[in-house]
Amino acid sequence: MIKVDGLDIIYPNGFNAVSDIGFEIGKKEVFALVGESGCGKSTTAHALIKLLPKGTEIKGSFMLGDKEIFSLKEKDTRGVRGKDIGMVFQDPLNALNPLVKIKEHFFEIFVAHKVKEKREKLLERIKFLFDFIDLPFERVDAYPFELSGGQRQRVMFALALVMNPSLLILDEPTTALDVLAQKKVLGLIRRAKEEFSSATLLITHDMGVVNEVADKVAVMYKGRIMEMGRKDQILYSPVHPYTKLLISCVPKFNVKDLSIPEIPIDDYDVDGCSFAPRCHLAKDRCFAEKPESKFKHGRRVACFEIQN
Amino acid sequence: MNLKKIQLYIGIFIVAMLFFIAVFGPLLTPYDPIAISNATFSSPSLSHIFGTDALGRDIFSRVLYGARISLLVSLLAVFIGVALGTFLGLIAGFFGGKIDKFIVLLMDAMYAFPGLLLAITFTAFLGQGIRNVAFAIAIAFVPTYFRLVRNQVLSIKNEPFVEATKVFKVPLWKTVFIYVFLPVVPTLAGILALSIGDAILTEAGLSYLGLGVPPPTPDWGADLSTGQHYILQDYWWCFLFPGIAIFLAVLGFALIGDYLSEEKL
Amino acid sequence: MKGLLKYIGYRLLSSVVMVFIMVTLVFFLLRVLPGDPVQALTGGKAPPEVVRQLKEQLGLNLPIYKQYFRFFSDIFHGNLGNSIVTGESVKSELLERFPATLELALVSVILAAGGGIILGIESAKREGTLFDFIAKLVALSFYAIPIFFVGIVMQYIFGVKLGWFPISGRIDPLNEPDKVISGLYLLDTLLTRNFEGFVDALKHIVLPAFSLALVLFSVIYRITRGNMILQLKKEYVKAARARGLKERKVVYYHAFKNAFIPIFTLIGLQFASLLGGAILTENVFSWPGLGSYLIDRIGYRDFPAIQGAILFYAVIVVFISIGIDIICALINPKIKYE
Repeated sequence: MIKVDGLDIIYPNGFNAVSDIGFEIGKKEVFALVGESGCGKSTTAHALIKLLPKGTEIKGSFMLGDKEIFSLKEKDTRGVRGKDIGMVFQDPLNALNPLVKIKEHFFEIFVAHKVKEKREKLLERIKFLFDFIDLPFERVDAYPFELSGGQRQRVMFALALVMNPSLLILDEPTTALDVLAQKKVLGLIRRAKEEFSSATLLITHDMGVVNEVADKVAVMYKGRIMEMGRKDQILYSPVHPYTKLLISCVPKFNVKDLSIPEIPIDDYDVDGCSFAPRCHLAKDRCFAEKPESKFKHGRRVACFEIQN
Repeated sequence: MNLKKIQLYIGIFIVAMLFFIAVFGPLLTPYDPIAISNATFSSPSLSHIFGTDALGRDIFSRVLYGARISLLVSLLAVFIGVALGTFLGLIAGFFGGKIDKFIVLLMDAMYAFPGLLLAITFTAFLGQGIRNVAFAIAIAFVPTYFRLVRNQVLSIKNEPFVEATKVFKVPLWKTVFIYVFLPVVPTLAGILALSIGDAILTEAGLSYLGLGVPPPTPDWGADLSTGQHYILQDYWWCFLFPGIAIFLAVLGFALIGDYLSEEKL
Repeated sequence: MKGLLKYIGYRLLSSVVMVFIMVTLVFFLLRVLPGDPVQALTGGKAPPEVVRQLKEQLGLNLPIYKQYFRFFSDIFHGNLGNSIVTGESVKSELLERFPATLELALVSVILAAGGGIILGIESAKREGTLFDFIAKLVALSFYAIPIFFVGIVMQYIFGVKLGWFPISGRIDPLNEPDKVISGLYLLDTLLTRNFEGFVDALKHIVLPAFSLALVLFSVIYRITRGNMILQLKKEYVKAARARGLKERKVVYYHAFKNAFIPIFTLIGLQFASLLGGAILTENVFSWPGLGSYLIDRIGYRDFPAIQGAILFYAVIVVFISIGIDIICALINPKIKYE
């Protein structure tokens, strides 16, 4: 069970990338964090594994099981990375060291987390993962450049899963892949949560991907969660004006009667709801005050107009 | 303030001082740098703030005048290097084929040789004198600028906008200026500053080896070399001040060059 | 593997062409430009009869093209001619001096590479901090100090003032190794258990090696820092951290492995250029290597010696740069050959 509460992230240059974010992810659950690029979803993922630039301020709490991660010292955080939390990155072509064989990428994880078992045992473990990601075991001796982009991304999954993590973070795992490779990766996400019973945090901007694999969805805009609920609620009956806008842009959902007028292009920062300048429902209050996230229509929404 | 900016300002300050000294040096000292006197090896004092050398010449004056030779030779050398490199680069790039292959091979062969060795070989036989020394130093720079220009020519040669200039009968020099020179300016600026620093070092090295501008012209490298003869007698001022002068001059250009080539990235 | 062999073949061929061009250039340069060995030898005061005789003896009376062919046919027979000054075979003179140059080059490259790489990596890790800035300024300063000036200052402080180290030569004549094994005094004295000689040779090499290393250090530092900064920004570095690897392993293994090739290439080329003689340093410290040999002989217009030294140098540069390419190819599985 993963619980993030009151997460606030301020970059060294003072930019408040994420504010007041909270969510829970259960075992075998896929939680999708969606939004446009720059909305802070990737920053959130990197904050959980504490890989943000030096000097970035992270506030709030992050419970991984019964362990609080943010209060750990750097040395202990390192013990969590790769062991309790596995991560897959967006760009599979650059996420593996080009001069290091695939096999070595696995073995150094074992060394880093002091797994003291016989070599045969460890190789067996790697073989199990290669079966899982559907890659011939001989490929452990390959260099990254000898594999295709899709294959490399599957290797990244294997690397992320090798220590049986309780949380799997996927940062735009399908974005850089072609359609066929995407399909394979989506299959992996579904099977991974069953096989390893981990909680999955999926960062994506692709509603199609969300529809395929997510259980719960949170929609982010400018560092805040606008609406959060079950997948069917968010995708098929969104209530927040921003979610409606986002969903209406995806042709295949074809949701009728969302009644979204044209979006104003000019955007600016306000004290109140960050979506207010572009929102057709916005009233004076929306510009002056930030709406709290409240339970409404079986989900959490941060919007005065909907809450009323 | 930004640390990198400080680096740039220090560099600009040093180089500005250097030019100032080169131009107004004679006004700053009452002594003639080549006038021999009886006051040999006098240690730094109020009348001779850097002391005097084996012939009783005022070292401060020699250091001031030395800036002229140093700057003159190195600027001339870089200018010749850039001109030759550009010329060959344009020819190789535009003509291509066998001419290109031949020039590239020649440049590669020269590039493998350290600048000082090339310069020594040339000066040894060209003879001394400002122009010859500058030319000998320039040879080592040719391959660098050749590569820069040739690569730029190759990258734009077949672009549609260059084809278009032919259609509109734009004069060749204009095309070359706009599409070859302007784009390389940012890269060039950093390399130029570093080249001048290099040239000052090479010039000093040649003079130190006795292959530079002939005596009694005030020259930092040559003075350093004569100064070395007297270290056992503890006449430290004879080598210290010319050495510091070379160091500061090179440092000034290196600071600027390093800043420019990093900012470009 | 086949690609690699083909590539080496190509490199060898183009290298032969390069050496050929280089030597030809030097050959004609030496003869076309003013400066006459016979005049240099006799001081320009010898009677014409003696001059004519000397020229004949040296083959300088032949037409240039004949001299040229003679020169090349000699090279193919492994003969670099005899020195005009000493009358000895240039080849044996070069070989005799080479170990001194090699020893100095080895010691200073090891010193400079060790310091430059470590400081470069630490600087890159702290890019933009005060530490990085100061390290960079120090390195730039080392680069800007003329190598002979460093040498003289070191001679003055550590030799003249403190008296810790000798300021010239390779070893005290009394301590010269009884027999030449490798020609490297540090090694030979150890092999012959001449410990006094070893300490003496070590003391002699300290000042030249350190002053040479200072400049090399700044070059190696610069390229290490630049390449490490580039690598540390790559995605695989972040991914390695995300797998829980120790920071030291991420930086010194993963990133450095990728930054290594350009660093290694630079060090190799610098080493090659030192093998041609660290001309200035050898002259400051009267180090009896190839660099001081070349300057010596230029003074005498000793054509065969100058040509021989430059040919020798060109061959070294070529072989080392091919060697570097092969090693890089073995390290990097991805390099493709045209």
